Amino acid sequence: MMTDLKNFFEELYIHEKSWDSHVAQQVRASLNIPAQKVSERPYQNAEGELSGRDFDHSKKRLYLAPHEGHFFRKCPGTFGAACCNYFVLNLGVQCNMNCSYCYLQSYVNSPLTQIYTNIDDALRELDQTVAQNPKSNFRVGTGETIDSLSLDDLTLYSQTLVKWFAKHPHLTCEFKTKSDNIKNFIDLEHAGNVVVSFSINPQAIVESEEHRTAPLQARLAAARKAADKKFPVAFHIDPMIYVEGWQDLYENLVDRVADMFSPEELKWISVGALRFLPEMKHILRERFGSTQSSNRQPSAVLTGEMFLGDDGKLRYDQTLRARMFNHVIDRFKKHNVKYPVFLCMETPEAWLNTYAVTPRQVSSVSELFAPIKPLAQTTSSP
Amino acid sequence: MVKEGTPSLASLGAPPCYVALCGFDRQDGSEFIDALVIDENPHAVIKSIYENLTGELGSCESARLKAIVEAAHGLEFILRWDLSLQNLFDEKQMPLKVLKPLIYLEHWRKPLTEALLELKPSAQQIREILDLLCDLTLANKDLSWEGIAPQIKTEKQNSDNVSTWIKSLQAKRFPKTISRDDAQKEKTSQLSWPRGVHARWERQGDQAGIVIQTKISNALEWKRFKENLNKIEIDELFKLQ
Repeated sequence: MMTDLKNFFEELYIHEKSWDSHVAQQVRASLNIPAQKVSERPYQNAEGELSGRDFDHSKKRLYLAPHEGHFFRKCPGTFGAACCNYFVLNLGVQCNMNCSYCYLQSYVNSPLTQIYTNIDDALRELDQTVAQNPKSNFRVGTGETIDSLSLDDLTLYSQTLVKWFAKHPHLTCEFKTKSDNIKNFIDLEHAGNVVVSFSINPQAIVESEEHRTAPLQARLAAARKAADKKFPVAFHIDPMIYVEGWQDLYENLVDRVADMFSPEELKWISVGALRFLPEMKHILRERFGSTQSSNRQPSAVLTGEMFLGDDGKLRYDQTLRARMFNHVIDRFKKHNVKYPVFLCMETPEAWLNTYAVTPRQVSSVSELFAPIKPLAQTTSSP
Repeated sequence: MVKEGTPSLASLGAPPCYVALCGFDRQDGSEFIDALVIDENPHAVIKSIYENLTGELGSCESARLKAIVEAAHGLEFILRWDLSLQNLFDEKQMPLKVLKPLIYLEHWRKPLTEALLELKPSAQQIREILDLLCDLTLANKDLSWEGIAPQIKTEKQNSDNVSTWIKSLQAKRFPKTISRDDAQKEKTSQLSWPRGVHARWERQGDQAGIVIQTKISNALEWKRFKENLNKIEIDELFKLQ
């Protein structure tokens, strides 16, 4: 179930520069804990590689501060994978949800959840980038280092972004979430260029691996509401996780999506399989492994048959991945061949195994993979 | 190196009377002494040694020394293993980070120590063995040591025994993939490859396939090679199952 934010955080720190910010005021009014005004980032001596326990703590400590440096950058993608021309706008780091496979476990190095309070600087940076690249129609996602919407009740950033993108209809923004929290922006006027996307998995996998996220049905219902309000909707069936009976589970997932959405209502459906850096295994074992003393079932992320890929990440065997992708894609095709399905962070070989063509030759998604000129980016910090 | 059994300074409180550090091989007259006894402010002396030797010591040595000058948070796991095994890890220059699976293998401390000391695997092999054992025990906490112990054959080289052990652990850890690879190996070997062609099914990380080796000396051989390859029916091998 989605976390009740009011009682979720145990510690709240607000940098003195952010104390009077809109976000800080909103957070202080929303949470049941006292705020501590600080002039430096707390827990600096605990920064570095986090233990599982530190990582757990980091989810419960909220720190509001301005971000210094660039907000906006090209999605790093993964070595050797087909690139879908994506840019990211990071408005915080960490997540109040708790997915076993979350890559933040190998990324977060501070025992805090950070929300950047200076979204105005982020938008100024975007303004400059747009001014320098007036003809580029790039896509911007806000869900790389923090879920786009799960903390939106505290930030209301969705409203700010929908309004900004309404003024730039040639650009596309993506809110990517495992929550069902669309209430803050759903009634706003928009330019039809804010894609509301939901990472989805079968409910059995939501329960075993995607802790504190919204149930599948709630995510689909939120997606339906967004589509009814003419927001473009997208789904990420990613990461597909191999469990006993995966075929039926994913078939059922596709059927539920197809029952609720026509191909025309969906901007894209990306499909990817479980992958993570080998270094993440230790924290995964600590947080999601069974132990001699506990009765906890080990996560399917830990028990999967994973092998090192060319990009240095652990992945399922390539043939198994192709089977999994084909299964989902074939099921969508059974409903309607027009569903815009593409593979996320996959190699050209995987594309060829699944589609027998490369991404730019798949008409429903070729637009996403068309090469774009490198953007001229702002060089000074906002 | 701290003499085995020496109480840690941290646990003694301040200040202990003396501490013996082994491994110094000092000669006192005609007598060789392998321990350095520090009887004046040992805490400060050892702290200074620790700070000065960072990077010079093996990771287990460093952990032991650190444990006597301060609380060794996050290092306790390695200190619970036999000194002889710690020394093996240091000899192989293994960083503590890759030894973390030992945290989950304490219930097999005795037999695992004996097996590693007897077989003396390479650093890479130790890393692989610990990782596999860790995955196996976390997936099945009822797994017994007997179920995964190495079958050590005295007539074989240690390196062969280690390879056999790792293969048997892989077969348990990756049962579906390994059995599929084995079946593919068998099918590949049964295909009618042209004379002079060596073909085998091989796995490299997340990908597996047929590796074909041959030598072409002239254009005619190349032509024949292609013609002969075309006769081989391998579609069945690559059907997604």
